[in-house]
Amino acid sequence: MQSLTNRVKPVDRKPMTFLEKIYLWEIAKGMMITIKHFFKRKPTIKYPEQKREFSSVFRGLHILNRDEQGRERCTACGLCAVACPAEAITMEAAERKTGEEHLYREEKYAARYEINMLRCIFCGLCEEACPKDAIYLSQTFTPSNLTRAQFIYKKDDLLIPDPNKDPEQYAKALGDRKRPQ
Amino acid sequence: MSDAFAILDLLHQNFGASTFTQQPTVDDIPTLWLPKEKIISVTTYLKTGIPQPYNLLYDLCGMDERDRAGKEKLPVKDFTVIYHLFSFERNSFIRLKVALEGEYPSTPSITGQFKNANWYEREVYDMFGIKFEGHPHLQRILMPLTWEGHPLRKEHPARATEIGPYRLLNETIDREQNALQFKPEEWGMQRESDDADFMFLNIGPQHPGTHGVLRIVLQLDGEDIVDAVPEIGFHHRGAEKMGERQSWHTYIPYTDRIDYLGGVMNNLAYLLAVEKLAGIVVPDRVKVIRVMLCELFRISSHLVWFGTFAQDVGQLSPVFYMFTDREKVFDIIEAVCGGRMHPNWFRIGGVAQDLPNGWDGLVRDFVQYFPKKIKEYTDMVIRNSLFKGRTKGIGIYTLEEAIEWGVTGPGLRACGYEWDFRKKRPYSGYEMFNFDIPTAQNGDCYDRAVVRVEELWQSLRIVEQCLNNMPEGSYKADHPLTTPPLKKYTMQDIETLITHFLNVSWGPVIPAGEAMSCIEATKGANSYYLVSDGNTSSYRTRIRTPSFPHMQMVPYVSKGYTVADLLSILGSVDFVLADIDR
Ligand code: SF4
Ligand code: SF4
Repeated sequence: MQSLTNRVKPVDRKPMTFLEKIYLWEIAKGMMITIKHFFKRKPTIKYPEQKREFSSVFRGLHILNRDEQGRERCTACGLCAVACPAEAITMEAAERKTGEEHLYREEKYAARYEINMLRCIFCGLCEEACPKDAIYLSQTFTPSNLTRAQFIYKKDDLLIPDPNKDPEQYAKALGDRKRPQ
Repeated sequence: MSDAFAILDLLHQNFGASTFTQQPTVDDIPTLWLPKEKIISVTTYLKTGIPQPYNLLYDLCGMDERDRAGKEKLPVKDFTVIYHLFSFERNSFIRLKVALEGEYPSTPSITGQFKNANWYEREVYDMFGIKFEGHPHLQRILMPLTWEGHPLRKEHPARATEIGPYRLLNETIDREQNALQFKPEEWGMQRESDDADFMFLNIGPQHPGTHGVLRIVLQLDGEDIVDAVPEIGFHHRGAEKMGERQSWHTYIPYTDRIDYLGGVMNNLAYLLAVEKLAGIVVPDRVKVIRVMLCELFRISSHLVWFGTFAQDVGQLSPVFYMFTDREKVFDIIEAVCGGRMHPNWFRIGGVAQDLPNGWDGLVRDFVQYFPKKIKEYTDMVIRNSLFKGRTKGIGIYTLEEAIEWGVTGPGLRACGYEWDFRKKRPYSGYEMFNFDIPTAQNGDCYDRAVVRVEELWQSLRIVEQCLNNMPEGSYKADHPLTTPPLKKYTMQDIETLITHFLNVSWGPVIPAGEAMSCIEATKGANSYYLVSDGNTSSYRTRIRTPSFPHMQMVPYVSKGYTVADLLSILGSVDFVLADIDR
């Protein structure tokens, strides 16, 4: 078929030389390349002693966020649960009572909040859906577990440490994300 | 686009205007309804009776019309079979639709016209129960032979929990095992010839050379392949059915998993169709960001292919080096998208976030680092004479055969035809970039390999252009259907918050209509054909993947070669099982 444009780039197709036809030489050449790689820096890391860095937007395990005063940000609006394509999130809402203002930022809060990590596909749509900046995906993996039940993360597993009581852990869990966006 | 519609006059002259009913669509593809009696003569005419013929059967799919809202305006009946033909010389598509009536209707098979119609028709039969008269072997293709019902019919449950718990009883095991037994007679194969008994050899479903769960039954005469029957469907997850259940927005992560090496490239194919339906025009920054990410994924996908192909033909080291470099691509992708193989990062009307600070440094480092690596790999693999010995002159097909079987992508370019959808039908701003279309001449395994290696260079060129010319602007389109809307407004103004609520909960309502996208994915042409009836999820999601026709062609090209050559052929085709089965 004739050429349609002049933007074609025919690839290189040199015939084999005599040396190439004696395959032995090629094997030696190939081995040389492999041996050279022995002396290069290792690209692997020794997990679990050594861990690789994740990017700041990495989508790992979920964290339920608190505000600066240590109050839970979630208002149990349910947006994350309906936005979740894998239907991994279950929650129950409750009304905040008087005297609980130091615990919950909004008048409604999540009394129960569960994520099934076996269903979750770590797509991050829950984080994107949340209008309260209350849930985000952190820079860690979900650790392995022995039973299925252990993969259902409860509110206690997900909540970030209180910044007033445990600022160190709080900062660690927050990672180097800038938030709110 | 007047060109695309020029064919209508010819058709009217030849078959009479009353044969066809034209349907307007937003993607500017001429769409014609015709009676099923006419389908053979019309496709034959389009393929052979006109200058600049429609010689590629691009896609063939079915559709259950029974629940479609607003169908009164169309000549629909209970089911529709939809044919997409493509003409390279006209550079245009045509869409033919045949309306079928009844619970389990039938229609003539076009396997006589197009060789690749075979598997497509089997798929339509499998998914809808529509029969094709004259099909040589109409058997389920994706579902197990023992499956009850046809999954894409609207009455078929969409999720396992609606079916009831699965029990593996002894009888079930026997039945399933029995169904998996290969019976050569069913495929018109002899068990012996005059002078030899044939051997039937299963390659797969578990075999490192098949790159996934694929079973190929070989009919062997000694070491030589007499015939082969690929059995696919092990990776079938019902992605098209899920599209009818997920909202337009929450379907995006599922597209990642179609060609799982192509990452955002799948998002793009899907979103281009959605955006056509919604009438969204994205800002230039979005286009360039998308192109850059797509090309990075093309590099990463080609690296996987390169390494595994070298491994298939006996070189064990390259795959390790190439995966290490792929990690470097993934570092960029992770920094930008937050995910790696499943980035889920493009959104309706834009991308999820803006590029992070310092992205340009990462990309620049890679652009500087990678060229010497491609050179090294070319020396190590492509120039290696053992590699040449295993791939040159193996698995040859000609350009005519490639088109007959629906081959697109590097496989087509290896036959000497410079067809690249990025160039010929630019989308997402590819017309702004400078790059060449690598081609080879012989259409053998070696040529397919060198074409892909050359594509690495071209992709790198495009990435570099993105890096140097990233436009300023917003990373989301300013359009009411952009999902989710820009978050910085959501937090402040109630109007956006309400839109945000509706779009992420029910999902955006995409206007009724039909649109098909077509992109040059890593492995060939990838399309999403979406039908909306004005709802929050699609009425029909059809995914045309390149690997499906490519796999269909494997028996044809591997005849006469040896078993060892088959692995070269499989490696050079570069398929992904998830892309075949969807
Ligand atoms: S990351 Fe995705 S799948 Fe996981 S809980 Fe959030 S929305 Fe659901
Ligand atoms: S985490 Fe966010 S989206 Fe989910 S219920 Fe709480 S406030 Fe709503």
